[in-house]
Amino acid sequence: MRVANMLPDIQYQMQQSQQALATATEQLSTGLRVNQLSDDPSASANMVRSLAYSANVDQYTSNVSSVLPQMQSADSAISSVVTSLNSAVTLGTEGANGTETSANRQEVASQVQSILSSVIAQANTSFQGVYVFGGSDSTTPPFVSASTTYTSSQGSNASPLAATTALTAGSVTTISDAATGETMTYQAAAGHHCYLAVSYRKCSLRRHALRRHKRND
Amino acid sequence: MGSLSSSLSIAVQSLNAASGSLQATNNNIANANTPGYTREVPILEELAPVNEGNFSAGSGVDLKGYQSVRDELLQTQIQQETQAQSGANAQLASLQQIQPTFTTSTQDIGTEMSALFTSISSLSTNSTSSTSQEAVLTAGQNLATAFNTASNTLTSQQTGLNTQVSQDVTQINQLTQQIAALNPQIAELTSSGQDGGTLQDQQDQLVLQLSALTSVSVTQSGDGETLTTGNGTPLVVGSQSFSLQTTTGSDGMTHVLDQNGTDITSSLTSGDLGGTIQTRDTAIPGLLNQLDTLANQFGTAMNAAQAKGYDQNGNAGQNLFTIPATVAGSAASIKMAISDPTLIAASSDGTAGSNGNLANLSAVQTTALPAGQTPGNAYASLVYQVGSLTSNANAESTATTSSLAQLNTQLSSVSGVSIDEESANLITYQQAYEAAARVVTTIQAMFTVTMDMGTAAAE
Repeated sequence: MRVANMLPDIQYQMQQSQQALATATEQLSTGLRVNQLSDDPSASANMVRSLAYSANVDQYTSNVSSVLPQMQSADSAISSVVTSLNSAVTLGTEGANGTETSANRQEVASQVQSILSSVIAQANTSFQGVYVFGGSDSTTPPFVSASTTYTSSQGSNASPLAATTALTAGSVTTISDAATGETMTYQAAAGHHCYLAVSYRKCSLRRHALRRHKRND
Repeated sequence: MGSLSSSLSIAVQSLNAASGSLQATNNNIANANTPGYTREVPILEELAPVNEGNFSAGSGVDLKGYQSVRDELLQTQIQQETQAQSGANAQLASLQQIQPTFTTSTQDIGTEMSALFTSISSLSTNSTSSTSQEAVLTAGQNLATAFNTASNTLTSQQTGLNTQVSQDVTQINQLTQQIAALNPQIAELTSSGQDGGTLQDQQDQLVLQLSALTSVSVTQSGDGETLTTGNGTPLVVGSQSFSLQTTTGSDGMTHVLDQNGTDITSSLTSGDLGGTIQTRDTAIPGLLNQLDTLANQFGTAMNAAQAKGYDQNGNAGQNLFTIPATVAGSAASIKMAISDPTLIAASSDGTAGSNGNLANLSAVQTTALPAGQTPGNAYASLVYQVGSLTSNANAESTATTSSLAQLNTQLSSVSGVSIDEESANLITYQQAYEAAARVVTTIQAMFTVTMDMGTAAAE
């Protein structure tokens, strides 16, 4: 073949080499094999999907760490409620003893009263503004003191029983909770003085956890 | 028996031939680096011999003219390859500008869509947190902006390509005029049997430039070259050139018309003009359609999920995104419909703290859209489309460049000037001239002897 001019061929070959060099340098400096979409279209498409999956997984991990403290506070609230209720049961058992004096029973009543308050407070635990036991209604306290009324042959809400009042034998005291509609009646046995009715005036749980040794529903 | 005067005339003819050949060599060396120049070789022919009785004597040499060494087949192949290369380069240039918009970065559609879903997931841990709610709104706004940006990139590319089409048509018209002007001059030369020479070289260069712009088919005829576009629209016939015109069509794009006003835009498929039109009218609208479909269906799906729940105020969820009724233009005009964080429909039962409906919003990420793929996969297909279009254009550009280099090497092997060869020719013709001059000197001496015959000086 007759070679007239070598220069165009040489220029073309040099351009090819320089192009290859430029590509290799780019890959080396970025550390990536695919620097633009045209380098590997299917790899680029896969990368888009993989990045989305990985972002989701990262978010799940982050969600777990943000919800964990909330669960932990719920856990500790329930533990303390269980402890309180256990001590209330113990107190109630102690009080339901014929040898107790009325002053003792008064003491027991006020202790149970304070246990009740603390249980209500625990039930209304909030974590960062969210009431933990509120379900989907997380901005209002879930447990509220209900208003109870009682009627008795010797008193009522209007003229309350005094701590020292002795109930006559056979008298019936009815305590009703307006919020839940539940009622409890107590029939005084002969010779017993009952002061616990007074202490129940202030607050109650939605469900009565304490049981009395006599109970008429 | 030749006479001295006939010998002298032969010698003079050989002087002419030698100096004429030297002229050709001179011209070749001068134009060694001129693009498009085909080397000339002198055509030397032996004159008809003279018969004298039993023997015939040669009558010397005649320089008939100069022949340009052309290979028209190679030139045609080069024209076609140039068309293909220009077309591929036009597409590549355009697509390379579109690529960065779809490359994974902090603001591309895929990243922002993913960010929207992770912000919804984060909101689910505490659906009344105003920080999380605002994060969702911000992510939604960023996604809408990403859609808008991508759509704008594509449409502004189309506008730029319109300008390119107009420029190409102007150039084509200039070239066809120049070619048509050369045709009669060349026709004059070739009709008398001569080679077109320099004029033909010029015309070939112009045709090559024209091939870079659009597809050209060349036919030789009595009055010069006839050029038509690939589908038969005449560009040059004889000494007349036909101009192309441009007009803005009803779709806002620049259309190309032939001299009769017929729209030939869709028939131009190669060369820079063809590549530009192909990108503007096929590749980009395809991408734009995919983008618009994704934006429209994604917005609709999110709005539907929002409508299934209740916002923090207890009302039914409103639209999250505003999208137009038609699919076309969705990506350009999608935007957030709400700016109040409490309007995010997180609740499934109307209470403020419920996060049940966030599951429906998250489900949009994994549910197939009406087009058939999940939003993430639809975007990944779009990315693949852009990448493979660019990659194909790149491959074609590289292949045609390599092929063109090969063809040019072949052409220069035939038509190119080799300085070594011309230098050797210089020596040859110089020696031929010297030898012929020597003959003249010898004949002159013989004349002198003849004149002196029979005179006193001859003694």
